[in-house]
Amino acid sequence: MLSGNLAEFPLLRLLETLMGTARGGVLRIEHPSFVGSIYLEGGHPIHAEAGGLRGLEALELLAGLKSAPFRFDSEPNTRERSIEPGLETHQLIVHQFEAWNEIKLPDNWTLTLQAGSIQGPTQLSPLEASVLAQVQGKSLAQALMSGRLSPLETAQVLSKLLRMGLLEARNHLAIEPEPLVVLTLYGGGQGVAAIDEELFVRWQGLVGGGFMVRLRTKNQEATLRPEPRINMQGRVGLFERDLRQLRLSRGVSVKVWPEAR
Amino acid sequence: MDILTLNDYVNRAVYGEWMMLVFILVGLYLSLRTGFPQLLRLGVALRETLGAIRERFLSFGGQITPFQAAMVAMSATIGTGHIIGMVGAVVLGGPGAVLWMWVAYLVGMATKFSEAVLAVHFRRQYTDGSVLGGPMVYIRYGLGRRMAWLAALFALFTAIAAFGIGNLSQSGAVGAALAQEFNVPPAVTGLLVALLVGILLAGGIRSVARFAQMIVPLKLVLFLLAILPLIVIHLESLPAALALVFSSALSFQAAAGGAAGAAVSLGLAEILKAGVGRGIFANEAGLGSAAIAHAQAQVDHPVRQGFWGLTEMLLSLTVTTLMALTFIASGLWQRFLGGDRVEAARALFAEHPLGVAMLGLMLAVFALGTMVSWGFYGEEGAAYLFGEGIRWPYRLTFVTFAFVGPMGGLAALTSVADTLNGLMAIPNLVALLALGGLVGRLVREFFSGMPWQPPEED
Repeated sequence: MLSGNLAEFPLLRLLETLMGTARGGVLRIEHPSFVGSIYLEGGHPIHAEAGGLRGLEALELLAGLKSAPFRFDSEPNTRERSIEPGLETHQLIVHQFEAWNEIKLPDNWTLTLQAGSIQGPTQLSPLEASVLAQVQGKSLAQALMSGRLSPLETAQVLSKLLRMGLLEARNHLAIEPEPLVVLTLYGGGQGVAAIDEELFVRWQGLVGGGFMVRLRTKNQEATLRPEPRINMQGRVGLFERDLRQLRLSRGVSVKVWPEAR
Repeated sequence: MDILTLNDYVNRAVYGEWMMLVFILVGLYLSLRTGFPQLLRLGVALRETLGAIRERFLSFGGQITPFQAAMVAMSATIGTGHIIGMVGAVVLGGPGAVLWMWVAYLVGMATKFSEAVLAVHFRRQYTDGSVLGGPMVYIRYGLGRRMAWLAALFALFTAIAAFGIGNLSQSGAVGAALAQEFNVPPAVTGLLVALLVGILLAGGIRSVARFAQMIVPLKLVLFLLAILPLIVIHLESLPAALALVFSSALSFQAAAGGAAGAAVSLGLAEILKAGVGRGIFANEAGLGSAAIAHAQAQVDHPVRQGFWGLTEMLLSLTVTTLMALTFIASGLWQRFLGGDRVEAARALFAEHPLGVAMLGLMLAVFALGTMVSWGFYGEEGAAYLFGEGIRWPYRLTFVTFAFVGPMGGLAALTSVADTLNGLMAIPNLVALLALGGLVGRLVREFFSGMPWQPPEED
């Protein structure tokens, strides 16, 4: 068994080493946001998975990782074939790595993407505008995995948007979801989560500006507009209409955390 | 005119018909200003209180939870008056008194609701997390600096009244119950009561609240254990007892009955006075005492605490009603009409499988709970007047009286304190009248989903 970290042993070098020794087995890469696996036969990749991606797209995503623990087990355990082994594939993989090297993205893919401080009119292509609209509030890893584009294409657009200041990548690891108990708010309001004013200020500081709150129940999630209120420690106030829609009632504990607007 | 004659005169006035009328009118006014929450918001009130009982230990960040604050108030309210006093009301006013008691309760619900709302709205919070609130605070900050004397008057009445209704009467009741039913010497009862009260008051509001959240359920369980066997015994007569409440609400005549065995005739005035009097003074709505406890609750909106005031009244009403209906169903009321209420209660509980001891135990526990909460009320009144430094001297004095209470005596002091207890209502009712509009506004804001804006501190 071979193990280490991609920060010390880059993935391309690792794959070339395994290719050189014609090893078979599975290389598992454990990123905080997803787990990736590359299956090898005679040193050649035959199948790859990462997050929800498969095949060359998964390999493309993994090629962009600068740091993550890995482990190689020489027991191949898949019959799946999503990559055609051969010289052409090898060249494609090398090309993927080279392309990633030209992209300036933060190494930490757990960072959350938020609207940047740049205001006013900016020239964006429809594709860039669509990516900008879709990725806000997501982590870098989520954005790279969930777009309509390939991870590399998404990374190129993200890199540009970050450079232009239209997006910012912020560390949100410090914001733990807060377990709060639901309190009923009466009246015709909707889409509001009343939280304690101290929590509001704290989250505002962490997110760095306007934010929405994400609320997770047992079965579903919802995004609501936060409203600071006094003496709401440990509680989240929701209007009756939202309670009905979310199938919640007073006294139920939910997880709540902020998301950049 | 000596002091005791003057006291008798004032006592008759503060517990008299005119004062009762004022209580009812203020309650009606508050019902109108707040949109009859006791009728139209009863569902919300129950959902917010009993429906949220699983949150009883979950605070909003304050020293005690809204539930605990309500328990402190309820511990004071549900006392011996709910048992002996209720029997007394039927003995004085006949079965019809119960209907007027219900009416007084219904109106009083809006009063207690408003007291709790104002107590939270105007209470003062200090940097150490402690809170000072109650009528003296809402009079002072709601009516302004010019009415500070009225606030001080309320605080003074509370601080002294606590020695009577909240101490000598209660420790006397504990002492009498334990001596009569269990042959416990009054000095021993006095020592134990003083020790317990002293320890609890020394712990401040947290300790009082912890005790209250334990003793109120105990009171209710004891009451059910005491009343259910009697209800079962007289189950068949209960419908007739209920019918009698309605049929004898306006006037009552018995060819032969009463303590003397003579013909008894009760007019509307007597029936009203007995029923309304019980409906007002049993639950303390209008006296302002419960507001001192409700002020301690940290809550996101004062109206949310107000609902605890409504529920408190509802529980109090359930206890008094069950007590009254059982007494009427037993038929004993006819024998004791115009007679001794304690003897009447003892006669009723003589039918209990555990005998009169059950009554004694219940009265002792009821009185003990009332005493601890009133000790806290009195201390808050004294602290408002003289500052934090008065707390320990007040507690020590209170404990001394608790020791003396079971041994009897001090009748003059008890009588004066009883008058001051009645006088507490005057400043409180003035404030409730003046601030009724504000309570109405807070209710409208709450039901529009608007956040609460506490008043600016001056």
